Amino acid sequence: MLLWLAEHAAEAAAGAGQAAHAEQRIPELPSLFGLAHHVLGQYFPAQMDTLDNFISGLGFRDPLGTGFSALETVIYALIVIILLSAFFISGYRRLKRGPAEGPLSRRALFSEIVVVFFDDFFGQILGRKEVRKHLPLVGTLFIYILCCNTFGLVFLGKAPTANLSFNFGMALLVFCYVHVNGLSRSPLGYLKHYPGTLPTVKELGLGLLGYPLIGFMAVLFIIIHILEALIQPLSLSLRLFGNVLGKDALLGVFGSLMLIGYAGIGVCFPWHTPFLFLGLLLGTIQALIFSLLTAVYITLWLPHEGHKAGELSGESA
Amino acid sequence: MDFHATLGLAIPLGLGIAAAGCGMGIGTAVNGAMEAMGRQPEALGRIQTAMLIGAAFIEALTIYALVMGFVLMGKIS
Repeated sequence: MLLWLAEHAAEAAAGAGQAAHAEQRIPELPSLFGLAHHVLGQYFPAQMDTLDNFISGLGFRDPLGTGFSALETVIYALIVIILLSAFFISGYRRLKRGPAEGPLSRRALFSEIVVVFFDDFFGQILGRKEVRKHLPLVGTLFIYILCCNTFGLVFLGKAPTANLSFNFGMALLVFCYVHVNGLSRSPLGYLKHYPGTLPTVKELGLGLLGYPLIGFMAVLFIIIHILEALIQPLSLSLRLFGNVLGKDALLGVFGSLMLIGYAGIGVCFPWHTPFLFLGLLLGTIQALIFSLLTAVYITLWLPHEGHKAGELSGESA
Repeated sequence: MDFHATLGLAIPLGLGIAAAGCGMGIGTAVNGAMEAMGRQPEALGRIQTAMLIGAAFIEALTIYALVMGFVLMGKIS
């Protein structure tokens, strides 16, 4: 039984849960649904084909993967959402009822600690006045991405963030939120971000030649800032995607070593153990970076006086 | 030299060059952080956080090269 399972896991891992394409796929550890799909696909190929066509028809996307791994992503994302919501909503309700009913549960206390921590941490960037408004988005992004990344390390789990479309969806959400936020505060202040801070004609000291020069610089800056605004969601999503997919591929390659040992050489050791810890660290850091950058972008696109050119606007990494 | 051979040469080489540049960048960043921590050990936590954030930015550049490698990997052979 174990041998059968290991063989199927190896095939599923090597093929990333698919058998249709001739290209080489990125290896990763087998996940529960991918394994089920692969195993059932060998016993019931017709039904699995129908399922695959149905999924592709629905429009789930997973670049660098197959249609079914896109469905896996969504399933695991839903699992994360349900778990997190249950935990934090129950904690919130317990906190709202107050300490009159006896000592607070650990869930309630932990929820409070988490929220207060984020309030402090993001208050340093957003400023005390703004942080309450934006804390739901930024804090949720952090916790959600952290849990999604960690699912890739759990046995028989797959990280939803290893899917570029998933990350791009989150980045698009952030992009829309940031710009709508800036626009709704003051459209003129928002539009003033684009030309940036230009020197006045008198400061240039070139007399009449200053006018076309300033015009040229304004156009140049507008183009640069538009590009920067468009690059921001792309870099957000790619950074998260690359880190998580790289970690999954690393775990997959080292995990498949375990099966090679099992087959004949006899060195059956979970070589991917140290990388699990590295993956935990990197997952946390990436979640932090995503939410921190969201907070930074919110601050950047708010209208503010005394706007210093190049203060943080060169940060399009 | 057909394009399979060129891709097979270019992808790991590009990734190596990206990693080298980012390695130097992160080394500089961490160097500055270490010096700052040495000067003022009370600010250890804040400096560490800022260092990690800066390192993640620089690391992202290597990750872009890695993602290109993943995308192009299927085209070899």
